[in-house]
Amino acid sequence: MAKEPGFPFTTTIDDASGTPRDISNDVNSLQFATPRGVQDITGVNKSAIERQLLLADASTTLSLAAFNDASNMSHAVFKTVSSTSVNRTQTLAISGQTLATEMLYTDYQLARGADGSLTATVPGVLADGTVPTWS
Amino acid sequence: MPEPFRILPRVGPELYKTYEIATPTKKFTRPATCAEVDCPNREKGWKTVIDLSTELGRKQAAYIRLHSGRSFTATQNVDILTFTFYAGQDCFSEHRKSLMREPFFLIKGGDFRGNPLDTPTRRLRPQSWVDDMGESLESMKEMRERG
Repeated sequence: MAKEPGFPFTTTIDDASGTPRDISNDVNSLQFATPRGVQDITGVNKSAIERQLLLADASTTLSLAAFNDASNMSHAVFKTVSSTSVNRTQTLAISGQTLATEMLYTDYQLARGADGSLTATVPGVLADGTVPTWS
Repeated sequence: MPEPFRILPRVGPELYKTYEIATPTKKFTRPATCAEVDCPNREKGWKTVIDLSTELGRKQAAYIRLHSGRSFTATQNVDILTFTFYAGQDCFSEHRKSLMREPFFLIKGGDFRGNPLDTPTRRLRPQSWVDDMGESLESMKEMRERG
């Protein structure tokens, strides 16, 4: 299913050669998991949880609405995930604010739906331990 | 669908929360015609190649000939039947067009492994979502710096 552009956020991800590509039109959902802040946690052993949180890392999951093999779009960016191990910059932009994150993507899994659609899931983790900030 | 390959977190999902921007296809797009999405098949015509040695292929060929209502020419090489459709007709793909709605900006409990604390999902305005995520990342950074 081809999808028309128009969603008011942009997702830009490096291809294997490090060139940023805007693949916003292919992204159906973007999830970014972060450790819960200490202030969120109520418990008797807060310091133990804080120690555990130090080990926690951020991860991301991109869900792609459709297989898109157009030039410089999602398939061109992610087809090299299985054959390369490069860190890639993932930049999320919303209303002029950006979050640039160095990610290591670990899979590019395509799936055929019962309705004939071809979708994909791309998981990744924070590559170098640098915590990103909105700017 | 099997789970994609991931580097698993070292701590449980109860210590995570997930920021999500979601645009589920059914709610954010509507079915569209080839003309609405500038479909290249409509613009230039297209070929559909069918294997007549399979039952599915025979059914597809029968549908195209008897029910599709499209104009075409057909060439056959043993069991392989090639239909060439003229430009200006709708193809067989299901196209979707954006409804231009604002995405859902969500904060959920847990991560891809689940939400063991059953933290309810919150839907926020984009700026509040960015602010909350910014605070969360700042807190993560401070923890790292403190050691």
